Amino acid sequence: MPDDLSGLSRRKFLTIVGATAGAAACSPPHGGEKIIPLLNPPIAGTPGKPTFYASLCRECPSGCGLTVRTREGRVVKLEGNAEHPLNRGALCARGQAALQGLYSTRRLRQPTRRDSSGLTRPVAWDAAIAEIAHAVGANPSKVALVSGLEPGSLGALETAFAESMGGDRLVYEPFDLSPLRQASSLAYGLDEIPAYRLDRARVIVSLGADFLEGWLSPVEHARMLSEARSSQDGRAELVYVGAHVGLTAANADRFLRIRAGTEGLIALALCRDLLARGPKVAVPGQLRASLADALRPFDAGAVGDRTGLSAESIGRLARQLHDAPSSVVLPPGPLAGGAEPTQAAVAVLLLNHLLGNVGETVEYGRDPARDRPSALAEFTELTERMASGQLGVLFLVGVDPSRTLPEKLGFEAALRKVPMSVYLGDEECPASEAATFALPKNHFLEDFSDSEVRSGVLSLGQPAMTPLYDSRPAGDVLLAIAKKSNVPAASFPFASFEDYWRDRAADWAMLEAGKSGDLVAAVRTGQQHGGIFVERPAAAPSLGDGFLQALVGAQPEAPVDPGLTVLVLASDVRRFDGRSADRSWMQEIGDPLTTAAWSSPLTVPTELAGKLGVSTGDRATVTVAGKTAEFPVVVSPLTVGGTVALPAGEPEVLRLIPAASDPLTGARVYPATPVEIRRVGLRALLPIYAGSDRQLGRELARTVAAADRGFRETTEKSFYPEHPHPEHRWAMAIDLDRCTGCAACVAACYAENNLPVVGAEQAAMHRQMAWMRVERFFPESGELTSGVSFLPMLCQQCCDAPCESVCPVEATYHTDEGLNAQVYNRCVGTRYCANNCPYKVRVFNYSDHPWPEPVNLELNPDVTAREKGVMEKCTFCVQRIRLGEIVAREEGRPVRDGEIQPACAQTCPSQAIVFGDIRDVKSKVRAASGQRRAYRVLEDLGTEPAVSYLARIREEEA
Amino acid sequence: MGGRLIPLLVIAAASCGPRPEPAAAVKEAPWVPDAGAVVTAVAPEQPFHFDHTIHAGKYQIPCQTCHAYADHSPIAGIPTAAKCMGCHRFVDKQKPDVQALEAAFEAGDRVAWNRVTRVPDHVGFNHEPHIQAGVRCQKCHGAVETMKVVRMAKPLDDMGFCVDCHRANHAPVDNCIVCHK
Repeated sequence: MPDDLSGLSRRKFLTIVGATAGAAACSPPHGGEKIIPLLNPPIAGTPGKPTFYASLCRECPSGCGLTVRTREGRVVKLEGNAEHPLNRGALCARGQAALQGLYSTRRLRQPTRRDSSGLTRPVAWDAAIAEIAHAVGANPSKVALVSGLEPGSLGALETAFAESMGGDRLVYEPFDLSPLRQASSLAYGLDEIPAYRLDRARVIVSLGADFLEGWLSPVEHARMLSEARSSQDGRAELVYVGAHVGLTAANADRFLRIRAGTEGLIALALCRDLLARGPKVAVPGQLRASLADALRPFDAGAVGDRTGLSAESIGRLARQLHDAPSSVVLPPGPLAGGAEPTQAAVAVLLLNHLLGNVGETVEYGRDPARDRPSALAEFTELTERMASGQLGVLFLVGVDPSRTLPEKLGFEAALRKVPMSVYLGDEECPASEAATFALPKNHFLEDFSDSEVRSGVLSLGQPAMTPLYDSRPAGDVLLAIAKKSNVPAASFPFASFEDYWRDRAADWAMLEAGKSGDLVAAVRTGQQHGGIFVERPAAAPSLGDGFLQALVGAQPEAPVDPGLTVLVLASDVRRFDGRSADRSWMQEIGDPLTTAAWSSPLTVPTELAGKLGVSTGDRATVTVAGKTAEFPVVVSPLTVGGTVALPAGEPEVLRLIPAASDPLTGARVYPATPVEIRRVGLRALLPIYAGSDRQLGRELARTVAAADRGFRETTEKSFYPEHPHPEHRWAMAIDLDRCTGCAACVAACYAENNLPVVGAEQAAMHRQMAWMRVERFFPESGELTSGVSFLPMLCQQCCDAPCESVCPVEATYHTDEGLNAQVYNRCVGTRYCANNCPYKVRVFNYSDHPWPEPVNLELNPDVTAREKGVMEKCTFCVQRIRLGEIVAREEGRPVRDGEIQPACAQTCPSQAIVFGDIRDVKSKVRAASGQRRAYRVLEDLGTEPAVSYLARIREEEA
Repeated sequence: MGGRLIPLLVIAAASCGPRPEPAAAVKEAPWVPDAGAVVTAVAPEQPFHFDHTIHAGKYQIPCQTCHAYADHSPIAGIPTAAKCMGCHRFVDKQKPDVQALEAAFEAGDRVAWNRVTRVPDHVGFNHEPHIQAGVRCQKCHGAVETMKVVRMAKPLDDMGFCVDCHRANHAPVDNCIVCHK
């Protein structure tokens, strides 16, 4: 990463390079092509080779570090920053798809103004800023600003801006985790969300916390779970207690099904049991007595009646927690279905306290709480002010609450009544169409950013390319408006947001990181590494008695009528709260559990489906509190009884759910609600990828009872002569015990290999072009209590590949490095190879795929964009292997183990994929492939795959 | 393409021995394109009259002085206007073309050259290993130092041209994905 770049010259450089890139990258075929050299030579990087910038992912509030790969001045791939303490090199599927936000066809390209007749026309920046500034000056104290969670400079600037105008800044975050902070505040007087160290626990109990999908820090949690499961001290067990099988539940060793929203009661019952059994920390006598009093109503029997979990199961869970050398219990997330999340979080915190987890696996002193979501009531009030004309100017910075706020609130209609509304964002949305001004802000990959979500970790983001359009940094626009507004309080001593950003980072370096001397240099070094990271000691909190108030008076609610159909929301690993719903990769990659793509199906359990007369692919209407919407149906064992589920990543779903909030924090909650479902006599366009829900005894995704168990060695002789691999033989090992099925690998593959998106209709015909897919299998029989299997399936790079021998034109062959190569320009599209492939990992281009402006800029120039009539497949990212070999050759050394990684292995949050040269006796892949639980899929076919799988460890039911 | 390849194969089969290296005389002689090959034997018009016979011919400036990335990058690079002005601030300032270049440079306008050389999109040609292996630029680009306006002098869109040289120099020929992407 370039070190010696002053802001201005670098920016100028990016301007120049960015423009060249467009010309160089999207060249038409032969003839008439221009080569437009730079005016000045680039300061950083060599044309034709990648240049990397450390930056920060802003796709969700987790704040993972990025390494942005650029070619000729344009971003072509995002990878996790290996130095970043949160994600350590990994990135989730949504982070990968941030690239699609940058090159979205829906980007706002220039400032526009909507006049009174509703017509939109382009407007100059200066004119827009002058008009907005005038409106701000004319409407003292009638200004409001809404943005997302911004735990950094931009958030601070937004707050200062709104306050200087005499207005408020509201933070809109549909999945509000404030109850966790409030619970800590009540229990310990600490206004913090604790950090959950799953890696240190031997028993992890998630009470409805979907920590692999989107709760707190999913990439970090996936790594921790993976570490806990492969720990030297024994494999950790994950128990999930909830109403619906989501990704986290599917990864649990044991899934305990309860009625939606009753997680808090389970926690209280566990507390009661544990208090009787003897807590692991000293509890003063008086406190113990009042605790026992408060917990009296929550005996396992009573709680069992209300939650649907048997008293024995509760007792067994309590015993397991009590006996475990270390454990952690995770409180319910916003989608668990509970109406009072703070109370539930207090109960879980008490449980963790009694287990002695606080300070061990539940760490305090980690959450700087730089920004907080606003309560739902504040948005209700804001909407009322907007609708009644009490608000003069409204700024929406990067968020559109109308997409996900309950429709009944009428935010969108109210927005049209605000005399001056300004949408400052990246992409078109309902708000950008309704607002007076739609101003394009720089995408986060074109801008400076910072985020402090963990104490001691200041993540720094920097522009990796020149803005594509006439957009500006959001901070610059606010500063310009403030300057022009003549509001005395709004005089900020900063020429630009970048100055402000540098100033704050320097302050942080001095105050928080204790740097002295040249702070400018310290910030620059931080910029180079993706942030400034210092170790912080954990806080050791002591239990106050505030939590008792939260518990006292709590009574187990009356059980819900089991005859009712109840709707719960399923956490969506691909779309989060809908903010990634427009990314076509996220739509095309199916849901990990239903495997449905391009749709948001209603999951209906088999028995209920029979009663309702619906089957998979039917359309059905869902009526919630008088509002009705239509969804396709998937009949699935993910829910049982009267519970149905809808994905939370569909904005339509969040709009459908009526407004409700946590009584203690005001955070929006999504309680399980009774719904009415009716079949519509129509079939839906519903692409479902899974061919079979079960393995039917074929043992594709295998399990073993313990880590040291294995399989019989096969010693069958091959009919074919052995391939010589004189130098390298690239191989892969995929640990199914680590894999969570999150599909980050699939998204990374889309990004790296220019995979086209085919759309819903083609996907319904199974013509999706994914080179890698994650197969999902349900257990052979019985209710889903454990045993969902995920199997990442990619080209197995067979030694004796069935595809090679049937190709009439030798377009596919085995290389001397062990790859099954596919030569696209040689392929004539007979599809014999795909028919002969037992793993079904070859995909055929049934049509040409358009790469319209500016989507063509996301193409990786090292990989060709294939055309109609060509078969394509995974090549272990041969272009990355080649690059690694060239780098090693340049440096005059052999390739190092781990240096070359395909995109899938690089991004895997749980580090399930190991890649390397199996000829190298010291390589990790060799060690992994040699483990007892290693096997190869369909090994008896004798294809000699280069991909080994390590069987999932599933302890037998006690 | 076929027309060119078949006679060569016949010769190879007839001689039944190691293939003779392509005649040394071919190296610098202007190459006459086959009927099937798409070669811009005619030089495209360029916005500036840049004369390689002066720079590379008369003054013998090495190719990589201007095409600076060739030895360490897949692409050789077209010189930046700043590079041109590095010399032309002092040299031949009176010439109208140089003055036009300077005006464009000062105005921040970039020169849009018409592309001369291109390999198909599915070829991942990399200059670096070729230069590192000591292949002369002229081997593929022809005697550029003798061209007043550069044209594609060798059939760089014809795989046979690559394969002939690879064979002769024991470079990989049977591993398609070394060159194809």
